[in-house]
Amino acid sequence: MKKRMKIQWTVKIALLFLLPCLLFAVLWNALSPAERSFLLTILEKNSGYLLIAAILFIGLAGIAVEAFFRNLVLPLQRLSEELALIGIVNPKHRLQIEGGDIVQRIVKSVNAIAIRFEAMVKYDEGRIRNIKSKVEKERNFLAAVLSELPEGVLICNSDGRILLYNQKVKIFFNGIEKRNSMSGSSDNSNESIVGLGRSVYSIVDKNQIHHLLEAMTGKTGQRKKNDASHFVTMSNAGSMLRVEVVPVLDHGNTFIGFVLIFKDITHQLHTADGVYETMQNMAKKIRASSAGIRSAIEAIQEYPDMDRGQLDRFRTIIYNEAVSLAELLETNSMDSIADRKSEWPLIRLKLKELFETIHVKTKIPIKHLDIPDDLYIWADSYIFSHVIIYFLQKIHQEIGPPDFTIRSGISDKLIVFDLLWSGQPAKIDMLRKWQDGNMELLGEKLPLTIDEVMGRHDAEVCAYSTPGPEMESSLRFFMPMCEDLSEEQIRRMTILSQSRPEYFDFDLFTGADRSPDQDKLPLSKLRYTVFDTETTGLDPDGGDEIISIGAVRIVSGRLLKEECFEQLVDPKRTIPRASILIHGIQQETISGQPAIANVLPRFQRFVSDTILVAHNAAFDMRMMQNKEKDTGIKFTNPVLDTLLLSAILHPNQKDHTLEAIAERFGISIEGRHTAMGDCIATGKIFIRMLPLLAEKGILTLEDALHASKKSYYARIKY
Amino acid sequence: MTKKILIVDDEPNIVLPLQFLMEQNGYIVDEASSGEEAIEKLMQFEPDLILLDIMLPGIDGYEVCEIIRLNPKWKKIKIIFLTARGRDVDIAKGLVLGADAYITKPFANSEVVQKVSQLLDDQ
Repeated sequence: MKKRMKIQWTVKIALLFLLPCLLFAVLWNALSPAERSFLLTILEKNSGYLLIAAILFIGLAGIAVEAFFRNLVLPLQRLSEELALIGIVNPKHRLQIEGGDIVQRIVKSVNAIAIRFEAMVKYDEGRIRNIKSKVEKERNFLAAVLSELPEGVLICNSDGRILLYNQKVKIFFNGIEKRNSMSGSSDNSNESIVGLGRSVYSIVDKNQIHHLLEAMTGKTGQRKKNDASHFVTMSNAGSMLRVEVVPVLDHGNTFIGFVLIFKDITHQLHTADGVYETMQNMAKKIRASSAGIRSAIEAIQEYPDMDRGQLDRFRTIIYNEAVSLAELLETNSMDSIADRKSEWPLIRLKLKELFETIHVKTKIPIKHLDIPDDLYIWADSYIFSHVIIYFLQKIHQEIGPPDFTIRSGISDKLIVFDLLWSGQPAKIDMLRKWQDGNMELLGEKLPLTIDEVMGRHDAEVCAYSTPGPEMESSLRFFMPMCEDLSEEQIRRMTILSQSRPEYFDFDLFTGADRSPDQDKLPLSKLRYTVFDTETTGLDPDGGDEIISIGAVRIVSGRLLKEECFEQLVDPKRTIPRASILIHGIQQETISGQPAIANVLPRFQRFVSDTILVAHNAAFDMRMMQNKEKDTGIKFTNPVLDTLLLSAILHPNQKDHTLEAIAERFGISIEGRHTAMGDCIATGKIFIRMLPLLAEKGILTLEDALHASKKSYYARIKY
Repeated sequence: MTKKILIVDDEPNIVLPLQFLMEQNGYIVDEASSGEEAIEKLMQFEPDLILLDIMLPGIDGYEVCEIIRLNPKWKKIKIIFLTARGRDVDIAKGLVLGADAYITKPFANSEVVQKVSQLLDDQ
């Protein structure tokens, strides 16, 4: 029996019995002892009549109380629920409550008011729509501009949560995701997904960004005019991306977020490499030719009486080398060396910091770091640290010292550093083989050799050893020392003026979730994934399987239909006819689709860091839990159920099916019984529930989970 | 005793004037045009000094230098890098590998003669 019903019955019984008893007690108290005994005599004499009278009284009173409840109390309770529904969620809703005369009159009046209220809301909505469409226009304009850019643009708040991104970023980093969902195969642990509200650090290295931001804004938030603001990273498709970091400060100079601009420089790198090579070859040829000419002429001048044959040979050398110099200038190779800046930006880097990063990144033990504080090099910290790690690994594997010491110093304007170990030195051919190896990042081979990366950094390496009983060997690196920056290399910074420019209407930077404690945050601030599954039947433990998963994200109270997850699944069994009649998914539709074991890992990544929302979530969760053993995929996200929430909000409504709730909330379901259709409807319902929950004092995730647990329907277990 | 000099360079137009120059200064001269040939000549010709180009076909000049320095028998041979690679890091590397001097192309004949005689007179 419902708790509420119990309370009602207790009240009724109390009214029926306690009231007469109370009346009698009051009367009894007022009588004198003589009158009391007189009354007792009368009662005893007429006990039969009195009993009948009492039963008749109680019966009549019972009917009266019941009528009172049915006609007034219950209708009033529903009235209050439905009034909130009209007031907050669905002004089109009209009361249809059975009850007494008064209730009917109230219902009539309320419905009349509701009609006017609806008209007012419509008027207001019209105005809001107008304003919104203006804003939307500006927003679309910005979006259109952003989408046309050849660069990827991504805006984050100070916590690294993505607030805005364009299509290009999605292509750079979601490429693998796309390929996988087409082929049905998945698992690549490096796969990362770009999405609103997600952390940017799943696609770029947190340290790299923070290193730059700190260098640029300084610890006090002051602008500093040093250091460049670029680094190079890899896209998921394996191309090299140049990333520019632009911090965003508010008018008070407080750091509130940053912009990342991604540019694909794979092609430029190759071109630049070509130019670099041409230049090197030309320099070599010019030096060789002029050496020949100069040496020959000097010899002729110094030895005027050399024999005729020798003189002729030297004349021929001078002539030939002069011709080949001229030819060199006539080829197009000169033109290709336009004055172009290298697209591979090297930043000013503290050598000590580089090795501290390496120390953290690699498992190879570095027992001692002997590097002065004031040594700076020009380097791409990410790539170059991988080069050093590569050499450490090679020495470790092929020569086998247990640990290393790093020592560095300056020699003739060059930075020299040694990777030192005790034991045999690296052999000549060994080192050459290492240098010819390909650069590898995140398990992917780059189209660049170690030697080319070294060349780009103007770095040289050689093997070195000091003989003795305790042989100490090293790889010795030489690099140019870093000089001061030119003005051009000073980075950009965005500072928001107090009045925003017109096209900028997002409240992008205010949403930083400072508290890591999700439970205490307002429900409206959290990120959700609403999902639904279609299955072969309704018995998760009896062999029914998932055949379709649909999911969509809610961020800042907005349903992000463009960031959805939709996947058919091959259940590896036949689909019963009865269930085909419901969801319409035929056997041939799902053949060739990936198996659940391949879909769940991707789904898990999609939902990571969000709260799961589903209608009758217990069923869907059970479906996925049953796969835990086979796939090892465990969903530990908090779960909210719109079925339970509906029961909490509207305990007096009998029907809490998706259709019934949708109708109450004035939402039409497009594609009922498709995973996507149902989950979009569930999402819309959930968003409309949030203000109603707030009215009931359910403000945080903790409140919502607590209330759900208590709810009557929570006892249904699959 | 007359000192012997090995010139290792793949550009004959440089080898020829150098050879003349060294012979005029009273040295016995032989030449090699690759790293491999240089190592062969080391054993047959047993030079006192090598003028060594870095960018050679096959084994490069750095490696020839390393090979010479690894063999105790050749410890006394003087090595001068004579090369079109003129970056500071190249020079530093060459000296670490055990070269005695480093001359970049184009050079003055007098510079070469001076360096050679200086190194050979020290012995």
